[in-house]
Amino acid sequence: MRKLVELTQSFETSIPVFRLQNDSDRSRVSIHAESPISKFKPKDSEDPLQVLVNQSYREYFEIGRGSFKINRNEMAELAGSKIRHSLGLFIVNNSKMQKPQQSKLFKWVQNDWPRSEYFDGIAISMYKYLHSFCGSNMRMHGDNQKHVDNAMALFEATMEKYSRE
Amino acid sequence: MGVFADKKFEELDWISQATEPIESHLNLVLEAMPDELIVDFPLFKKLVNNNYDLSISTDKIVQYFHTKAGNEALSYAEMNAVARCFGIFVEDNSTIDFENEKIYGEIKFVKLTATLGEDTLKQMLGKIGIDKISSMWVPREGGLGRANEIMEFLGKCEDGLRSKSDRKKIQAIRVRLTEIFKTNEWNIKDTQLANKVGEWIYNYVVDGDLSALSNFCRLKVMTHLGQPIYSMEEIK
Repeated sequence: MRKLVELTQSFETSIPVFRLQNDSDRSRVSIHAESPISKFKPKDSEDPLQVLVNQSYREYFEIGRGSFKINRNEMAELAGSKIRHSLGLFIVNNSKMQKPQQSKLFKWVQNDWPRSEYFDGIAISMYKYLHSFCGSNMRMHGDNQKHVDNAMALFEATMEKYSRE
Repeated sequence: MGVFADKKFEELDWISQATEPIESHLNLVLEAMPDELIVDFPLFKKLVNNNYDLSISTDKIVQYFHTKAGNEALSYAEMNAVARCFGIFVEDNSTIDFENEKIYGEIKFVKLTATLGEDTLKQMLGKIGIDKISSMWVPREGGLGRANEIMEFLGKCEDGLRSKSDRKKIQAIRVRLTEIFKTNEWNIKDTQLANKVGEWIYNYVVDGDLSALSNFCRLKVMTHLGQPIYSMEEIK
């Protein structure tokens, strides 16, 4: 996840200034922590990995400190989980099998993908590769069957490598 | 007539004696609260101080000042009744800045009425006592007998008296008390005294507290005197 944590380095937090909202019956005044006046938004990017990490941006307002807080590791974990989910989605949407969710490969990719820097790196590389010929639903666009077959073979090889170790 | 003396009623001015308003300690609580208060940043933060509910309300503010003055806690219903006498007014486009610890604009906490309305107080009569009855239980040793005694004094509890079930007896007492205070059959004009009825019943049925029974019985006698009841000397 180190690579993903690095991608959160540019993240900042929102400025803790809020509009005061008065209830119509005048019994309460509240602030909406998720809507500060100047809400931080990660910079747009063409890099699919950065886009994914940006989508995982989360901040929390802590009244005690009077400021927002972000947890870079948590955001990286969330992005990592989305990557693994995307890899599984790729198999489901591009496999020639009738019920790809029941395949050994899908179950391994979705549930048992190893959690280590080495395999995280492979997942990230696979994600970037898949994005070069798939849409946001991880379905190939155009005629990229060669790449689909290649990706499936890479998944099989990764699964085999893991079982040998 | 010493034990049945109603000192509070005797001390009322002639207009009050004629109009018989309901008295409540909550009016004193209300009186002690500020008429108007600008909520500044430190007070706002103190009142919120919770990541899950980033709001301040009239009852939070009432609770804060009431507790700060070292007073006995109010029930939820009492707090609510007092809080409804206030309003929070926020100037348009007001903002709060946690970085610089400032409020830009204004939050004003304003007392809208100086006393609780008669209708509000009528609804509150005896409520806390009735809630206490809901949590009552009937001990094996003499509890059933004591519950029956209370029902005899309350009257109109035939179903409860006939039943052998603890739960039905408690329910009968609760229903009868609710009826009494709905119409204020006993003409009790003080909310704290009204709440004591349920408390005395609870203490007598559960603990066999004879002073509680004595207080309850003396109050019952006073209901026959044809006068509004504002106070009674309580034996502890």
